[in-house]
Amino acid sequence: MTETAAAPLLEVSDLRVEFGNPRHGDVASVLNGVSYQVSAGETLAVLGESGSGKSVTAQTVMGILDTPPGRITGGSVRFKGEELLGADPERRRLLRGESMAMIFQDALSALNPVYTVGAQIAEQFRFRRGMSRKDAMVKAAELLDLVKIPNAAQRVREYPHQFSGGMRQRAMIAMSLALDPELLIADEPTTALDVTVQAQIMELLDELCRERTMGMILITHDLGVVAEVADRIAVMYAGRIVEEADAASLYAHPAHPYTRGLMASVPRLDGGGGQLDPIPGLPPSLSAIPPGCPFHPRCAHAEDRCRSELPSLRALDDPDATGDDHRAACHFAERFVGASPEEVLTP
Amino acid sequence: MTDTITDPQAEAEIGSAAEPAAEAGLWSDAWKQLRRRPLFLISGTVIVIVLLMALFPSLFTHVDPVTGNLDQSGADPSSDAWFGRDLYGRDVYSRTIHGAGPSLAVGLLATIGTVLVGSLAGLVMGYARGLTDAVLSRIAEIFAGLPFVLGGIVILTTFNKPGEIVPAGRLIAQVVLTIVVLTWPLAMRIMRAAALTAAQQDYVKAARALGAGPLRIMFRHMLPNCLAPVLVYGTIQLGVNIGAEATLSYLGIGLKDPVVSWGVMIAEVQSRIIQMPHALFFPATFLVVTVLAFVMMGDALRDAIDPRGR
Amino acid sequence: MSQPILQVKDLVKHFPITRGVVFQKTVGQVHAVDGVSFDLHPGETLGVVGESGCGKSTLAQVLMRLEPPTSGTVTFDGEDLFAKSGAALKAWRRDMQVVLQDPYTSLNPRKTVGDIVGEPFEIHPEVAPKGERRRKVQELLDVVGLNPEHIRRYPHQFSGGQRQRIGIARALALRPRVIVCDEPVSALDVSIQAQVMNLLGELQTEFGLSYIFIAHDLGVVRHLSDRVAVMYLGKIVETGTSEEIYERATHPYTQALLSSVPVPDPAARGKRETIRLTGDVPSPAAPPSGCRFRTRCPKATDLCAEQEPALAAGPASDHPSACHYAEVYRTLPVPSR
Repeated sequence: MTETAAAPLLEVSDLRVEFGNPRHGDVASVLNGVSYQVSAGETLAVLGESGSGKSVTAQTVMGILDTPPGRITGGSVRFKGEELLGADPERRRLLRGESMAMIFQDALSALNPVYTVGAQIAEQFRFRRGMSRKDAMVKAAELLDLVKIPNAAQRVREYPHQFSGGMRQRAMIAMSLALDPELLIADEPTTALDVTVQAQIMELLDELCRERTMGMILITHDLGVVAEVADRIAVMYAGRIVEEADAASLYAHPAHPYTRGLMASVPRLDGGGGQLDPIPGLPPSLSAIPPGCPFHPRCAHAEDRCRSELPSLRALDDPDATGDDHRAACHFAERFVGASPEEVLTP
Repeated sequence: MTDTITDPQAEAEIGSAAEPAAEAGLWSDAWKQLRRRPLFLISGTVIVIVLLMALFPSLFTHVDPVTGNLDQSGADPSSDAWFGRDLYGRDVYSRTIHGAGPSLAVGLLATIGTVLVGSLAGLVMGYARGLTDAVLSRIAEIFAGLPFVLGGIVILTTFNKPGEIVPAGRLIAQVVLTIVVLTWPLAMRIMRAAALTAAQQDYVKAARALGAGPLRIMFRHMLPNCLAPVLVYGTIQLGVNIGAEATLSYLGIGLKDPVVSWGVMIAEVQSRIIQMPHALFFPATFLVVTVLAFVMMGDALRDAIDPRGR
Repeated sequence: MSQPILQVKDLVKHFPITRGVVFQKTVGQVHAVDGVSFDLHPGETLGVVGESGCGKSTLAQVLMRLEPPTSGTVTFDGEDLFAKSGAALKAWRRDMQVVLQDPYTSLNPRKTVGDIVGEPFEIHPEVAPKGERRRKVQELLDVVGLNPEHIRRYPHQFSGGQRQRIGIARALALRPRVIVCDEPVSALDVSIQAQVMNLLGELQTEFGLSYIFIAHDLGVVRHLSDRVAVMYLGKIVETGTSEEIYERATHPYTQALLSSVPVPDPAARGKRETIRLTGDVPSPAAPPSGCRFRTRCPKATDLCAEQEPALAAGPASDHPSACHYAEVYRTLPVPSR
């Protein structure tokens, strides 16, 4: 884990986003006060299921959230101390690619099918660095080589459909690295890939981040992927961070019942565990988030307090955590933080 | 079952509790929704009025639309003739009312024919693919390749000798068939594209795995999911077809005196718009309002058969 | 062991690659399934695992007779499946059903849940008299854990997990003996995935079902399967009981697959010995000669290019493994917690 005392690379605080039209009364509160920080060289994993708001957070940070239907209703996003929300759109455009870049789940639709892969990478060098077409193509080939695409010099001339799924994701990574960003947001980068290719891509991303002391926000739903590369993990549920900790303590002592439920839902490769112990019910509709703790209707440990009072994200006394790093938004987090994930706690 | 998912959250998400248990399906649900749509009510009213005009013109006027007094050629609207009079001194109001019938007959029948023939072909092609698709596509290309006006002239002059007096019914049928023959490939292409997509969907696969036959798959599973673009096309085509009728009339090969249609009226006044604008204005307004009503109706229908929009 | 309910022998499915619009000519073959054999016994779950393009979904389609096979035989209860037609084919459909992957496209969006789950009874009216259908549909919804009152709702009013339950109810309607599950949980969120897997397990016990469970997630397959077949480029490369495959894998591809699965334990980071495959899966239109895995295999030699290894148990493998150099390699350094 990289400790940086200075201002963090990215600081998101109390971010709130709504979708829909309030006049029609169908407002979905997608983000309800999300805060996190990423330092240079650090990998923060944002873990959550669909609808938890993990991708919307990333899109808001990048400034590519569609508004409407989205609407940022509060909070701040600071990049190296500079406030981005409400900043000049031109300034934000300059920052994108130059300082922060993003890679997406579906690399096939993120690449334009009518241009060669090389031309799409070279474009950034030509228009933002003023390079000649020839020099830009040379740089593009270098980047493809960097992301370990064999025969990079030839493959720059190929079209996206001639690349396999893993290669396309590599090309996307190459494209995002072109202008040397300090922050990389990877939105489910390996979800569409096969497991053997996924492992290659995650290793590549991890390596690149370390070499370039680049900060990374890894958005995923896969608990395995997270465990392999993340320094810190933030677990999201219904537009809130419900638990945040360094990777080791989160897996050793999950303190939020939702995190514990997720871990119990994953079938294990070693065949242990027997019957899975899934979380009952469904995530709440974002236009009708229950009062109190949003997880209480699915929580086996819920008490009256959980139904009325929203728990705040607070630091826990976890002996293994580095600093006061382990935080959870549960009234009774102390009950869980001491127990290993397998221990079945009776309500 | 231990993990029954009927918690309050899921209930809240899905909305109000199930409605009374009458057996219902796509179409009855669509009707229930349509009855509440102002768009549907307005367009429906207009269409009903126009249909009444077409079927029972005597409800609206008793003036003879065919005989006129040349003394009153081009007279302005007055209490005597509300919409004024045309070149031959005929009452424009009466002609407009009487013109609704042939105009609607041609427009509706041609559209229904085009959509039926085109959709059926498209559906079969999208389902069967392969050789059937290739053969039908080539045939459609031949028809689509014929220019509309040239095709119309060839077909209609083949059946009717110039100057021959043809009964109105036969003429309307000929014009309708001409339009259908020359425009069905468009509806076919729209349906075929939608059907090709629908045929790839997993629910079609699931139905096949259950042992469903081709008819069930085409009409129960694919058709409702392919209808929306064809409906929209149909409502637009309705206006185009009323216009096509006018075109053919203007060329002297479509409907003609003594049959009255809005197209015939517009065609007649074309060279005298400045002198007698009312003779153009009234049939044209009726035409536009009618076409608009059908377009709105199509829009409402399309929304109604999509349960996701409810 | 009891008589197998389903016997698959040398099943081959090639898709022609064609050019031209009017005069189509075949310019190649996609070897989607290339000589697959296995047995399925009553009450058993056979897991079929492999990466995209390995032919596992094509296998499902051919077994369901949604696609005609190129060659090979499948017998169901001793009867030749591909010889069935007309009424016999329709009757057989009652015995074998399918659950598809995508809960969003596998249900007709313009039909109510009652119509969808009741359709099997309309196609096979002999199963339930008309008056009883509604009650049967509600029973089915109850069995899969949905509210029977929701019979008049449309698919879009349900979440992904609930929609997959609707798909399962439809497959269950005719009381089949075998259900082919084609990636039934891979589109679902982790917590919902576990609910659906538990449901599949419970239904198997309740109705004595046999499953062919196709998935790319090795954890999911292990959780539900009694036996597992690993596929690569249209062929089964290794097959055995769950334990044989997950604890004593002898094919380098299976080993690489297992070692690629990320382990949800940060403490194991860097301590695991991993096999990282290079490159991607070759195109099934032009599979490599000899052993199809040799282009990515760390053990490959000249022999592998010349001679195709047979799927058989060997001196160092107690279960069938199609590798000249099959041997156990501990690939599960998962610390016991």
